[in-house]
Amino acid sequence: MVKYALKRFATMIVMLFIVATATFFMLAAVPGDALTERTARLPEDVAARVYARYGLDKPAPERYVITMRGLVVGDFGESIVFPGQTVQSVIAEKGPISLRLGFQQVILGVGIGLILGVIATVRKNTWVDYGIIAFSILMVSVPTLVFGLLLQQVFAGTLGWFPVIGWPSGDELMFGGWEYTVLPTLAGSFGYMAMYARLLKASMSDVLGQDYILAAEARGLSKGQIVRRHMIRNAAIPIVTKLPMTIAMCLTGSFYIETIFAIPGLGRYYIQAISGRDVTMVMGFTVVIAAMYMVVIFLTDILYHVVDPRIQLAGKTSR
Amino acid sequence: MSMQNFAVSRRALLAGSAGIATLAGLAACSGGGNDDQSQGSAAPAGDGTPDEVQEMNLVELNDLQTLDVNDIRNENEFEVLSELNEGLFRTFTDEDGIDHVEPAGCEDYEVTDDGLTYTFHLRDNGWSDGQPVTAQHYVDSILRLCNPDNGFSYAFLAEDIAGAAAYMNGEGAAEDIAVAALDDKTLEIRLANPIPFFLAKLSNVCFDPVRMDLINEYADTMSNDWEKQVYSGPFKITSRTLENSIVLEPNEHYWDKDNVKLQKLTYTIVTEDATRSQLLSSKELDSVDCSSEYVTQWAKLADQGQLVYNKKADVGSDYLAFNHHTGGPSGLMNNVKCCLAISCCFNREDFNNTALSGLNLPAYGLIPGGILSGDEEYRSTYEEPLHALLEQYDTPEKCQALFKEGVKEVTGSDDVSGVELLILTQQQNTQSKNTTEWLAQQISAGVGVTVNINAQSETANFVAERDANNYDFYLMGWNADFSDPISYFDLFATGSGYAKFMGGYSNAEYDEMYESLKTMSDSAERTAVYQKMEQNIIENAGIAPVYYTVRHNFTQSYVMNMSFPQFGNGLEVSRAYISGKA
Repeated sequence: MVKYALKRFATMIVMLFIVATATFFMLAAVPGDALTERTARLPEDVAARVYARYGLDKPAPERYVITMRGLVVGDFGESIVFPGQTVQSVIAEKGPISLRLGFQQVILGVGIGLILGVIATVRKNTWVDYGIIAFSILMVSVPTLVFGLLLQQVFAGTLGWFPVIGWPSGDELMFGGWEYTVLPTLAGSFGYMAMYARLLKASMSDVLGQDYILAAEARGLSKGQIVRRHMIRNAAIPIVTKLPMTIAMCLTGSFYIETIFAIPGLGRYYIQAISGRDVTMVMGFTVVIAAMYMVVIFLTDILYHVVDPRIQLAGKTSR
Repeated sequence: MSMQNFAVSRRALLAGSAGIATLAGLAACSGGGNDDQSQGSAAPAGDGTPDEVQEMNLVELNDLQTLDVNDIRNENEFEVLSELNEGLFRTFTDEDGIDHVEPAGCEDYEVTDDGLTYTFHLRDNGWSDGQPVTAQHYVDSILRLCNPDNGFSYAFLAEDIAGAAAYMNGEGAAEDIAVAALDDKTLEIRLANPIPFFLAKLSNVCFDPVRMDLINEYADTMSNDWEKQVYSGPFKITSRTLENSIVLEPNEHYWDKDNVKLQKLTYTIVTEDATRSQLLSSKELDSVDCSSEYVTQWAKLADQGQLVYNKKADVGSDYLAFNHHTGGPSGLMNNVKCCLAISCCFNREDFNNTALSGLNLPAYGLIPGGILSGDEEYRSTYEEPLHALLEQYDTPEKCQALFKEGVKEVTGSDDVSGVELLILTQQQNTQSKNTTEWLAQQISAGVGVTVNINAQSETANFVAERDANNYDFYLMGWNADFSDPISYFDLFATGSGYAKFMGGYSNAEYDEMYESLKTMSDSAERTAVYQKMEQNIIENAGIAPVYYTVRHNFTQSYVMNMSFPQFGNGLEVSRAYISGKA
């Protein structure tokens, strides 16, 4: 196991290097930079001084070496668009917000999704099943933006039950100020509900046809016992392995939900940074996010093994 | 200056003519039949007595990129930094919506008879850390603004100060700039030439005082860190969440603090009109401008008395910028006849009604209503020059014949069957898509050739296409920096820094007239030259005017004393207060 972990760690370093390199050169290749508009009508030599101040006057290979050197020691550099801001300071400020929003969405979305999945399987080929599947298709098809605006209009605008925009801060940053979090959490959780309901239903349906279910029925176990002891346990593999990726995804923030509800999370900042060609911030975020995903994929592989010991970790000899 | 075509629009500054001007009557006499109005619940919600809770909520489209007054760039920065800093003047509007420029950082000033030397007598004002504001802070601001190492976007506004232009070009020294603190309360500025609209330029936020002691201590880390900043204006920042919100509270050392009634002013980044609409309905947003189809919806709320609708001619002009740099992919854009045929072949009223939902005003000249030349409103002195051309080329046949003549001059053949024109656009929303498609269709039918669309969704890509000259024309917008037509005519002089944005019109006669203005101080003479310059650029189809912008603001009826200046900070809230919100 230790050997496996070390091997994976080494692979992650190489992968991060590749991701950083690819990101750098893709950013260098796209048209425009963070200073294009700002310097466009300055006299040429003045514009050149501004470029020099941010190091953007140097050729791409030289900037690449400087950037990579910074990455190695954890210095991502300062934002070009928002002077004084660093990747670390932005993540420290906005990370907890995206973290809370993401966790609430996953807990609600995955929780209800799994319950719906079980109900749909148990009531297979009834109107309940069809209703859940129809609901899932609808939830997957309608964009988050539309859900967000709809919820906002009905529950914040017309009914006035919740604030239209905002997010808890100060002492309530991680716990409290729930009224602000209800609508954004709901808006972002529909997709997870749909995804996990369909996923669980599909994997449970596979299990349903297995001999050991037939055997359990023959042993006289109740339907509830069969679902709990045999079906869910065996159908859990795709869920357990999908879940870490879902959590990783939600931590990077949601551009639309953050935009609609004016939530100061990472998602909107990241997209704005890309759009504004804020190279230092985009590089930093991308590397941090890539590292997070790699850790999650590593954990997922371990989870595969934990959930089903028959699955071998790569590098071990299979029997 | 304000470019409206892409990215955030930069609403420009500022106000008044030479002197403490009242822009009286401008709205009523501006060109194109403006119908400025304030409608809806004219009666205030309260009896004018301030409520106990004095909190106001406003929205911005983007977060501020800087808190540094010298480095100001965008409309949102003008709005917020104007409330945080005190320049020499501040603009308010009266109940008729007319701009009044009032002395702010200065109590009064004198100008020498030759119009070259200005002496300002400052009033007792205080920074938010308790330090007094001195004349040296204003001097430091001008020197720092002009420093070419800083590369500040608005430095050009200082170029009329003696010695400034040379320093900005790297040829002179800071010591040679003719600006001095005669004592703590007296500021002197000497100009290179006696331009009549210097005060209008000087009222820009970029000239507001700065504290070099803090700038030297914190260097670059200060520009966006509200905790390192100090404030000389009505408010100071008390909290900020990046890309989300900024909270302002009164500056207790501000000279006019008794007139500042708001106790809390919050700016939140809200981009979606749908969300803004919910905020307006639930009274969580107190005043907002709108240029989308929501104008109609909110106007209905105003009819029901829930909002006050302030409709006011803006000082923005939008036009087709033809590619004079290379002639464009078609190779035809340096031919006057081709460009003129395009300019004359579509109906501006239809364009405004169809593509812009009737929210703006059709334009037949470069200069919108509301801009002063001397003491006169420029537009009322001179009929928009395109009208005469439209009478001459009043049918599609005439336009097509003119276009063919132009093509023949360029290619030697009047066969236009293979001619294709390319319109560049940044399509960020439905409205920009509608406007481009409307123009492409109408121009295609009007001059009888294919018009293709080069649509880019991102600003950077749009800029790249523009800089690569991959367009024949595009719709460009501009808001005046200050109340003088030169704010527009600057854009089209050969070699202008704006040429890249504006198609690069170059005309010897135009340049000669532009040069003559540099030493011309008589307003009547200047107006006559402006008229000839406008005629020149329209008749030679340097650009094709399309529409003048109209501002649509919606404010809650319980908000009192709000100002909506035509120039400068578009939303002046320092004396606003809440009455009867309940």
